[in-house]
Amino acid sequence: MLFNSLDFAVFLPIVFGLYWFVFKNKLKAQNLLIVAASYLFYGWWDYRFLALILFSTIVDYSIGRFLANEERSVRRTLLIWISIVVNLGFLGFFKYYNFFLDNFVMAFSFLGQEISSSGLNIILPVGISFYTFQTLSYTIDVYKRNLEPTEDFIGFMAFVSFFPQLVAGPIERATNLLPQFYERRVFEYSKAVDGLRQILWGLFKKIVIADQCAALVNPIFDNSDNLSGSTLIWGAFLFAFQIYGDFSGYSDIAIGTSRLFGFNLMKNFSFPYFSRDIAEFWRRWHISLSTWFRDYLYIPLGGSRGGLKMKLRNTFIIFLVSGFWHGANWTFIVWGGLNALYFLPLLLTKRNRQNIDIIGGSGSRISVRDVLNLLGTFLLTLLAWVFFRAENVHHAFRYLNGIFDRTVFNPVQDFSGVLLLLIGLFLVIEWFGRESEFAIEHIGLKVSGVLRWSFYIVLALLIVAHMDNQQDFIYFQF
Amino acid sequence: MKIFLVRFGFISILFMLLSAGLASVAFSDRFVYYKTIETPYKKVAWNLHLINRKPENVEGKLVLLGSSLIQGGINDSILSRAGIPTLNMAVPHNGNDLNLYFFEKIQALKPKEVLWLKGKVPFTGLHKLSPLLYKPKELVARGQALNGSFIHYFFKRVKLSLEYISFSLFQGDWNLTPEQLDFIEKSYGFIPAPGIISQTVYLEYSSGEVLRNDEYYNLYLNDYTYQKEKAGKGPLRLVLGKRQFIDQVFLKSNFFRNVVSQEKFISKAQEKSKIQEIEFSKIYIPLLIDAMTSDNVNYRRRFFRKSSTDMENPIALPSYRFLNDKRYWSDVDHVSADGATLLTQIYSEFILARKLGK
Repeated sequence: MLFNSLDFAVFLPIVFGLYWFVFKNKLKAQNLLIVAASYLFYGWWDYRFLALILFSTIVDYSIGRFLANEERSVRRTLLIWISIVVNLGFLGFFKYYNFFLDNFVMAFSFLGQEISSSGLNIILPVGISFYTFQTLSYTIDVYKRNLEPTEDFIGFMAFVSFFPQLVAGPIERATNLLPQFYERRVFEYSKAVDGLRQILWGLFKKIVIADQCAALVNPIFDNSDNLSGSTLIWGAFLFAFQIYGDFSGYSDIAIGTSRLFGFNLMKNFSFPYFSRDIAEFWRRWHISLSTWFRDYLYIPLGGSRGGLKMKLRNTFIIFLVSGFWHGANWTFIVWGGLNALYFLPLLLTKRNRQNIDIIGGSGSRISVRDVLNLLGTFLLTLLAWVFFRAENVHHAFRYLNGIFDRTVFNPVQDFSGVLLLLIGLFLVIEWFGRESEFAIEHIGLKVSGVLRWSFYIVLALLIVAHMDNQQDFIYFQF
Repeated sequence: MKIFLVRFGFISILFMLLSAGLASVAFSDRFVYYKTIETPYKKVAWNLHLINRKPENVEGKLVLLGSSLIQGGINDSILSRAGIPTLNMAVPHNGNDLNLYFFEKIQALKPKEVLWLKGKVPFTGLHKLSPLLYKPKELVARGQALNGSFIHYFFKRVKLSLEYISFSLFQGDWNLTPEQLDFIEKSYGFIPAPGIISQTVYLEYSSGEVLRNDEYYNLYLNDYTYQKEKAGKGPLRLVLGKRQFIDQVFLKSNFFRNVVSQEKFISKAQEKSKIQEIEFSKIYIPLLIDAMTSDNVNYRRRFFRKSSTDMENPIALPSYRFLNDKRYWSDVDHVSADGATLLTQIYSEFILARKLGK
């Protein structure tokens, strides 16, 4: 079920009503309702893959219980490896089987050995990368004794399948989300209103910004060989806002929906295009994934404890794995590698943590240098997005080659002034809200009465006005 | 919770009232031209231009209303030459709502007869152009139910209203280009479907392999009744069976799929035609599978499903085997220009014979 569908518009009020009116003050029943609603939400797409979620849930719950009663280090290690192999095994099969097979065949043909193979017609279960990492965080935290293993199977099922963030995150940590299923939930007016506000903003980002950009980006990338350099720049620029609006919009709707049910999810985006260097960008982009890799891969690999060499190695590993997590295509790996290269000068000069606060935050002054850094960082990400969006690495290079061409001075084809205006409006709102949890949070706190409600209605009308051009969420494919 | 629901309800009602107000804005014909002239629906602009500027062309004619099946399937000039003055006013995409819109526009212009497309199965949803042509109140007054199709229509109408306001404010000087003007002035109602079906698709169809998976072919075997899948045995199967039942009763019901409203649009046109003394009949246009299906005496049951608004037998032939040749098809649903010529010639004989009471 898509957040931006009529189905969800019917589904959400029904579940909300049952949750707060029929099962009010009944924690177990509320959790059971969340499980039922989440399975329905996921099964709406393809009910067959519910078995996969259920299997992962049973495996990780059981391993958690075994770990609770096991003190012997060898057995604990064996148990955690079972969890890792099962979870990553599913992910590997559904997501990477054909990729490895194709590359294996290609490598042999490169060495002069022709081998025949036929790939499997595998459907990628929606959100598998997200819930796999979420359940893994549980078993790893239990193994590391950072979290008490749960006895409550229904609560654990709800944690794994919680519908607002099941298919595209944020990837929640068991330490943050799981305990919330044990606590009695009380309806809080301010939290619910905040949730609705965040849903509204998420829908605006998705429908008004991302989907409208997609309508122009898709034909530009599909016909990139025949378009002028200026049009290709326009396409890459729009894709930057498509991917941001699409993914952060989804996260906003997910976080907002969770708030309606009394849950707090972690922040996933924090105005990444206002970053002054690539390290800051990665602290603000897909935060739940970056911190997951930091905690469960970078630090176990030694982090920065072993000197510069180890730091560089681990940074490259993180970025390459992160790229590969996004999809079974060399484009994502190159995208990850490119970001690691961007990181390199910052690591070498030990300036990777120089921009911790948001630009111009807490009344601090914005210098010309800040603005130039911001623009430079945006351009670097733009370049990397070309690899992320291209069909294959060769296509990405052709695309970039097309940009650096004499036709870069030609008029832009498919230019849309209205879309540019909308992006401008979007950036202005984000800029003024950059110190909040989400861009329009402060509107609820600082702007009063008629003006605030008029703003909501204008946003809602803009959403309605752009609803007939809806696209799937990009991150569903991951 | 109470304050939350009251306030949320209030802002929702406010939003809906504002949306309803916007949706009720009437669009000018110029805006309809602007929205359709560069699209596959440019025939709408052609129809409106004819009704507004050359109303005398409709008087005494046989008017064809329907989708692309008629637009590219019946050549009005062939029928006119055969002694049946005809005007093809069909517009691509299925929807009795759109047919009704043009029927209401022409009823005062005294056409002699209306031939309305008979679908293989009843139409569902709404025509894509309904939001452009109808205000919500008008659509509901014609029998549209308040279901999912209406919600989709409504929000699209609001979007178009905003676009119309912007068009009126900023594009007041918009006019048809000479080429566009040429189209609405000089074209005929018949617009043939482009090209010929590919040999591969045609052979695949002929082999029967595709036919067996064809929804219409399977419906044909089931007498045009959607069948429930058999639930089988086992607990999971039982659950799936229940899910299918819920699907059939709710999501795929005639009300939710808008079949009921689509039939009401036809009834509305039939009522009005009776009052205005305009002859009203339905006509069936074949698909490729009909050309490949053997002749049968029970063709009116086997080519299409009868509906509540089939007051008399729709115009249809016992066999369409004469179209079973690649060059007569543009794709699996549409006849080519050659196919349209042949089909129109045969239908013209049929219509003439019907008029003579044979």
